[in-house]
Amino acid sequence: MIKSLTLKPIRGLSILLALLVLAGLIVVPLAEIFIQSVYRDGELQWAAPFRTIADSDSAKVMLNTVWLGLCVIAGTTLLALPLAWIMANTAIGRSRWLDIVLLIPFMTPPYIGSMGWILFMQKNGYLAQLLPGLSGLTPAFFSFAGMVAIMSLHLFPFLYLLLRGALERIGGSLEEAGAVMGATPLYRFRRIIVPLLLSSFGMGAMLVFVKTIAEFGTPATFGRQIGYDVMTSEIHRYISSWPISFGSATSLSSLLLTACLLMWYMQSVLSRRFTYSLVGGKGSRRASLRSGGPVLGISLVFVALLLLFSIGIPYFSIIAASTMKLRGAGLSWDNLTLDAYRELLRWGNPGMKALMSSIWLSLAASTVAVVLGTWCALLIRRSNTAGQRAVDLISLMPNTVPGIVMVVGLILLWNSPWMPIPLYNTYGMVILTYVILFLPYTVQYVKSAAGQIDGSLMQAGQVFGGRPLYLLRRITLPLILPGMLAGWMMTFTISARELVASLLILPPSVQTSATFIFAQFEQGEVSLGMAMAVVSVGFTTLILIIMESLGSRRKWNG
Amino acid sequence: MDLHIQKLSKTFGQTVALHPTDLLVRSGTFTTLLGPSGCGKTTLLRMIAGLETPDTGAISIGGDTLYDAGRKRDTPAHKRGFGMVFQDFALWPHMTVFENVAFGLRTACRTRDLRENVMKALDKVRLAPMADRYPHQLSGGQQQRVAFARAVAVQPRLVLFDEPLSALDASLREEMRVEMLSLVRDLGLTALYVTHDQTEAMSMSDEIVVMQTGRVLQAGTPEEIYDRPADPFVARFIGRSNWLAPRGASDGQGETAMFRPEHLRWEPVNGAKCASYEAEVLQSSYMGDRYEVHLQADGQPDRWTAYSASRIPPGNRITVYLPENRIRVVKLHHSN
Repeated sequence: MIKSLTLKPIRGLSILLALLVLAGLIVVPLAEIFIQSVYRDGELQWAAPFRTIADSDSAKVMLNTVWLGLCVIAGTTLLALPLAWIMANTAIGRSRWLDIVLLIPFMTPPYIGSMGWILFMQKNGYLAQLLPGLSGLTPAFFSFAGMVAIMSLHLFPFLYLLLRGALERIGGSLEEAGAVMGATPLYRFRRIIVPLLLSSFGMGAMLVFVKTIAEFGTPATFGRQIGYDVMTSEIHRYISSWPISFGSATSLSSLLLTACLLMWYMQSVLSRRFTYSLVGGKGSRRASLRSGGPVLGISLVFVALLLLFSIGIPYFSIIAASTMKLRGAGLSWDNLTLDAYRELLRWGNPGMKALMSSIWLSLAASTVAVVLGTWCALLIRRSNTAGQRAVDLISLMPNTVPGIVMVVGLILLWNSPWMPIPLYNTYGMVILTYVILFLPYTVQYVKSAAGQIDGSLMQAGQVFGGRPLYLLRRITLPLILPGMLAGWMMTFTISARELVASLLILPPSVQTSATFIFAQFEQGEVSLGMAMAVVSVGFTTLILIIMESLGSRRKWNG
Repeated sequence: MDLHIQKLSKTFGQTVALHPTDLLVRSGTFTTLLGPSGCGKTTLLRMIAGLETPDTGAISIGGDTLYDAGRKRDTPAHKRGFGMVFQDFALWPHMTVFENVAFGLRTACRTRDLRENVMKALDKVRLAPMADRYPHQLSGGQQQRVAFARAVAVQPRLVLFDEPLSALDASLREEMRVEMLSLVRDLGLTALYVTHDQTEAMSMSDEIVVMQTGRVLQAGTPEEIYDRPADPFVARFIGRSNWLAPRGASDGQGETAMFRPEHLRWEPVNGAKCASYEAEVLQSSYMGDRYEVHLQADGQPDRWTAYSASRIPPGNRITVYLPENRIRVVKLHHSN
């Protein structure tokens, strides 16, 4: 075909260009971390990272991190497994709104959730005011167990979604087939449910582990209060407070990076080997209901408690704190005021400035990310060639790499003495960081939208005389537009709340909503900080809802 | 404008999808490529459409060379000016019925009287009132008709059909077959149709091209194909066949003989030389309009099928008669 003859070199060049761009943006900063960690004082010291690690403090921090990861796996399992069973097997699972509500904990930025818990549980906090008898719990909560609880309540939706999906598919015909073939319930559980569930559980557990060891928000707020240091908070300390030690930061970063990449690799191997394709072409029928009786009652109580702990308490605390007139006066109706909001949203107020910079930085970042991500996703297509697979792998890498590690790499690269582009300490650097951190969202969404375009749609366009560019405009773009919108929206939402990059990369004297909240919570007016938290979570959620309702009004998808 | 195909071949990796093949589709005829899945018929169709690149050979239509491996000519799909009905219809989900049909006219910049032309095409398939709907709001048969309207709206030199009825259920398939054939005839289109369904091929075509494992086994009118199969595979694939024992050991020069079930008689035929066989009735199945009788004739390796107006109980021994002019000698190919 002449078409392919003329297009092939262009596509090849395009892939090469994309690889160069992605390498410059993502691979080089990460490589810089490894290089810097072994290259000290102008010479190569292979032992340097190990010396840092052998340092007793670092070793303890690492153990802390791993132990936290394992405990959070246990915590999320305790929450997610019963929930998945309830949602797959009882009438409660039929309510659609619950599906959406259960995503709230995971859409809540962890630092905001932790602040909510701190406000609730601290001495003279809301728990002590509401139920004075339970104030004895405070010291017990401000401990490692409390940290595990907060993180589990934030991360359980991941595991829940995976487990529920698996349970629903098993619960239908697969288990019934076992029953018809004469297997007792116990035997069915052992030979059918457990093996099929195990692969989903393994994947979910690894995901939770990686998310836990990469998380910064909770360690930076709650962890700091109880003095439990993990790798992310330690890296932050090394590069932000005196004495600054980039050597230690890079050593820890390369270690964390290695751990995450290793987990990610194990997960992909596991998923290739032990995942059964449970998704058939036929819509699998749901298992028959086990409703009524004590089971339903217990289930209802469980779900209600879970919602209370994962959403109710944090949000109650944040909202209560943001509407408090006098901090000492406690919870009462006459202590209620909207002053904090008025103060925050006044033009010229630092809070309003921070909010505005958050909005325009996120707008810029999400727009750039959509363009770059769509380009990558369209190049990847069905990842047939090595080049396409490489684009796929690299563009999704920031999803695997802990945010703080990515940020450290970017600082090392753009702040290095030989860097000719003076981007560091400008707004451009912030936008670039957001783009890199959240590029995977657009790539994923657009890729899945493009994957649903059947090959014959394009071939039909060709046969009916469409040139490649015309086909891109009339067929591909309209069909991937929902994916692009979703990517844009996700990037905007998440950048607007992003904490770690904002803390480390913002130019001096500039604040975003996240750093504003963080600063006000640490030393300042809690009510102002919490008002900002409500505003930033509120408006990003509003955007999500608007976009969602726009998307569902698409005519050709009804 | 006849479509000429010369020495066209295609290999995917190690597997040969199409051995060098010649084919002629005469202007104004309905030609069908018939064969089991994997016989290369779809590959051939897609190469004609320009969706696959052949390895060797040439494709031309009315003196216009579309592809020539020797002279490095290759007209891209969007410049060939064909219409095509896809197996899964391939209607663009984000465009209305009107826009789907208008697509080919727009790409050809034939936007004068666009609305009129599109509505004319939709009228033909009785879907003019549905012009503003989206594909997912239509039933399977309606989607099929939109796909057809889209293919003919551009007044193509050739319409390609890639198993267009296989996505429909059986009763609808029957109905659409009749409707599509009458539309093709009314519009005077040249059609190249790919199917694995012999009923479709027999009932619709002026010419059938039977293919197997990347080769054309036989081309001819439906009557020729049924009456004088040139290959054992053709005889088995189209209609039913009864096979005779090879006559004499020295006769095994790659020849075998067959006849159709309807030619096996229960009494001698006047004025025709008949062979007679003693046979045992194995089974009698009632088909509504007749009984299908399975027989085992003495000395014959294969079971035969015959048709009878009345039930013959299993186990009966009877004599059957076969007019010798109904026996077809079929050469065995070395490739088989």
